[in-house]
Amino acid sequence: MASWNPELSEEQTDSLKEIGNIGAGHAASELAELIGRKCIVSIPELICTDAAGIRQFVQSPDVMVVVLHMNMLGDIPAEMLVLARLPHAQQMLDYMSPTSAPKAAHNLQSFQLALRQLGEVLTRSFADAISQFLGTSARFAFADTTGTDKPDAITALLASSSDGSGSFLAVYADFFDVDRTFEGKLVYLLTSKAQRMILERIDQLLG
Amino acid sequence: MGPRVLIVDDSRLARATVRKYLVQAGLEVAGEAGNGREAIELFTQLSPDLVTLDITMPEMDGLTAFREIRKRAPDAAVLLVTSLDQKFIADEVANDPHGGLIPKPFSSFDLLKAVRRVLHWEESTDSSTEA
Repeated sequence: MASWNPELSEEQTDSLKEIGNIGAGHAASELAELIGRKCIVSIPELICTDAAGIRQFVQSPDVMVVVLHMNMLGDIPAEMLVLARLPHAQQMLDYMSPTSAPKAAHNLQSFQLALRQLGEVLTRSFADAISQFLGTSARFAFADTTGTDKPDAITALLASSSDGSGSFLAVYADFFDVDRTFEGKLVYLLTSKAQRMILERIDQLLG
Repeated sequence: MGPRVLIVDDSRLARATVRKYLVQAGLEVAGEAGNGREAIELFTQLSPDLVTLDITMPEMDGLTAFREIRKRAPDAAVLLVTSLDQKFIADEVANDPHGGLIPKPFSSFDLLKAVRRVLHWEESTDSSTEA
């Protein structure tokens, strides 16, 4: 998996990471509000990759990872993946509804629905913060969920992500509660067109 | 010259944004740091009037740096600037007359309002008006 986009300067890389930091920080704060626990984020990282690389990125050798995928429309089209190991996804839902959270083992459909709602909240919060910073607008499509036990489904989810070149930039950050009872990953997927739009907007803002 | 500020953030974009808004408002940038450890070193060397301090940074995070700065200078004006808009961070400065918090992203207006508050500019402006 490629780990660097040589076309991006250090300044541009820094800018895209800061965009990731603003988005992920807000998503973590929204989650903290929902579950009543302190949530923090790692320093964002950036990779240039393709759908196969993302599949590799989300695959865990022995534990299923729940993947939530959401299209972000509006001025800067992008996609978001919210990834969490199954027990960690369950833990987040349990914190949200201690007595009535759906259990993946008992009712997979309800579990996936609840997870989708959580992922939508995180994605909207992420996108709203970025939009506020850049002065742009965002809209959303419905989310899909799947697991890494269905690798073809992940490839299908990502099929529309690239811009013809087959690659896109992933800005990603880990989110977790301070006791590390769960952790997950937010992956913001940008085509080269979306990258350009963000970087041009930042240039305008800095004048 | 206006108050001297130390800008601390691991992101150059974030530092540039803070710098632009503060310089436009007449503040002087005394220095910039990319992590909490550098922030403490520069704080000791430069004795700035104000520190803007990010939270999520490599080597030493902003909350740890804030506590270190507080040990050295209980009265230093420190503004936490973070995308983590959460109670445990707000609590850190809740009862601190020289500390404040502003969530990212922010407008120029909001940043300057927060800066005024930690520097107690409004009080001094009111006093000078009355005088």
